[in-house]
Amino acid sequence: MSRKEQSPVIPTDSAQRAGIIGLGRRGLIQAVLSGLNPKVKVTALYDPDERFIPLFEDSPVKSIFYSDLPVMLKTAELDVIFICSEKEAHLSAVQECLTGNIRIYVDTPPAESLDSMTKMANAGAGTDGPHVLGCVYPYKAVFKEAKRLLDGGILEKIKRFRASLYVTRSPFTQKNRQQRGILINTGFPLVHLLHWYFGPPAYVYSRMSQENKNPEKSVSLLINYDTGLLGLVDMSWNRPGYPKPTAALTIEGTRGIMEVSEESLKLFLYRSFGHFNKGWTTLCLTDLDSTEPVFYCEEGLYAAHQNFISADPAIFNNKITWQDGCDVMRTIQAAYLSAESGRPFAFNEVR
Amino acid sequence: MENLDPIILGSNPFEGVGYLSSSQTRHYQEFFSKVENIIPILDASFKLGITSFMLSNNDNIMEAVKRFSSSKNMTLLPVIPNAYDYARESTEKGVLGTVLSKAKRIDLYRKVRMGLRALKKIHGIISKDLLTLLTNLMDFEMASFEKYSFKAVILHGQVTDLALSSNNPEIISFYQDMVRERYKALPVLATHNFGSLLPRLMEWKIKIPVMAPFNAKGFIMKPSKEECEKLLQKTDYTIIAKKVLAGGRLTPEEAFPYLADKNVHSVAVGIGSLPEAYHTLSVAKQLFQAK
Repeated sequence: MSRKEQSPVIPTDSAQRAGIIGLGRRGLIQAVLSGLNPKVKVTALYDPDERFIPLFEDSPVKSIFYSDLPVMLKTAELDVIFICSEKEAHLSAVQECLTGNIRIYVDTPPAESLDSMTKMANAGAGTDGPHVLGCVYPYKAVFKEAKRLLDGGILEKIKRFRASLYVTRSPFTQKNRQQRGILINTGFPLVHLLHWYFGPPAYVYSRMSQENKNPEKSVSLLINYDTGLLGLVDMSWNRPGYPKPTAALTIEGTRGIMEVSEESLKLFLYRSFGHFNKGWTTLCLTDLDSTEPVFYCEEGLYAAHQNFISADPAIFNNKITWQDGCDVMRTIQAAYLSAESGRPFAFNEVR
Repeated sequence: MENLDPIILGSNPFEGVGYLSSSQTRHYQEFFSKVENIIPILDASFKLGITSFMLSNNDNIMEAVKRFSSSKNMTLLPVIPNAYDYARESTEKGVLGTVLSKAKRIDLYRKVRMGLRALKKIHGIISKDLLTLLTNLMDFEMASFEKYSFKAVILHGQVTDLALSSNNPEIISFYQDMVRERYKALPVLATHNFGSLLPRLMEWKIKIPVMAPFNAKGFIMKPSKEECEKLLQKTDYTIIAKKVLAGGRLTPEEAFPYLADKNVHSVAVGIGSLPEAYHTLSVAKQLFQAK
């Protein structure tokens, strides 16, 4: 296929040519965000599922749809690519893409194991990049503000936190035990958020509920840090009333308590700090509305997308690298090993 | 084509959507899971003369409408498709899996209700592109509203913005024609990207009412509050404001005066409790019924 035959979604003069691997929900979201970003034009879509082909017949999309990845990479001359397929397919897709000097955005979870994640990070280390992971919490206004306040020492010494992640899923999930359950598939961005806030843990102890050949549907983690910080994390696919994955944190420090959720940040201080008075202060999402010029599906998605596309060092301050992914995956792997062995696992013990 | 009422009751709280705090969202999820908690708000709204109700094809809300004694005198404004259901299902089955499973449901539905004519339709669906297939799924969703009076059909913002991003005026034209011809109703586009959509509609020469966030805090006014206001001031399109209370962060007394002198035809407002219904809708009426 020649480049002339390709049909850019929104043509602009200096747009980066983008490809999308995997046309699941997250792939389509990236397609929409790319379409709304004047600095990007989608010139290639890839999904190995051939059932897509008849759906694209008589559509302008047909001209840019590929069911063969090497053919796409050889033909489409891409600048950036969004990998949004199943996590088991990410490493091979990354390895193929790296041969073409393409900047890569990998959706979460980025890999099925620490081994794969490490191979991905090593493969990307010698290339231009920057390559990123699609963790979205650092781009959400409330979580970003919480990080700013924590870094400013608003809670003084942080002693404890409790984090939760709940979603109501149908009992008929498609995952099998090998593909794992909530911890890696839904919990990866939350574990990344904990790394972003508190750094790597010292020890992880976990218990998981598993039935028959099903993957874990609920997880409890006890996380120790070298600073003495202790964290409790609870995740479940079985909580009613959570149509989408919903994370929340309560962080306790010597100066007060902070409750953080997608919608608001509530602060209770035992004594005043800066312009925050003693007692309760509430900051709502609507007070912190981000400056994203585009909104699609959820806050933060466009900012993450745009941050990757721009790769401008001046604004590329929240980049989430594949090395970060290794740290997150090490914590997750420690949790799985702990659940299997019944003992705590040290972060550095996991290789 | 009839005009839309100046005040429209929204259904976000009934669907468990809140922006103020996680506890409010949880409260909405739990409280409005009981149909009997939705009906008094419909009733209060109706008694205050707010008879237009914007809603998704959500089981609880549809059941409340069914049980509400004055529902035949209300005007429904269906929002299609029910994006929350699609999003949830597509997370588990993938987009293609969701679409195909919905298509199977259409098959069953139409086999029962429409006989052989439906089978031709299904063949048509499979040979068309993905966006057209999604549009046909909306047709399936509209079946739930057939027994009620509806004046307009609102295309969900996620689908409008998908059409916008794919530079696809055909889907909007197709949707517009389908709503006007098949349902004899006013097509409306919801969007979260007003500043991108309106210029594009003008470029495409598609004149259609648009529903978009407008509020004093600039909450979800994209690309910016200033740009949205500038476009709003100059446009001759029918504009319906939503998220007028900025997700509950503004009081009605703060929120509605901001909109009173704006070029908006109607406002849609979600209500989370009975006292809120009387308070919010009364303030809205003072400023908008007389407009």
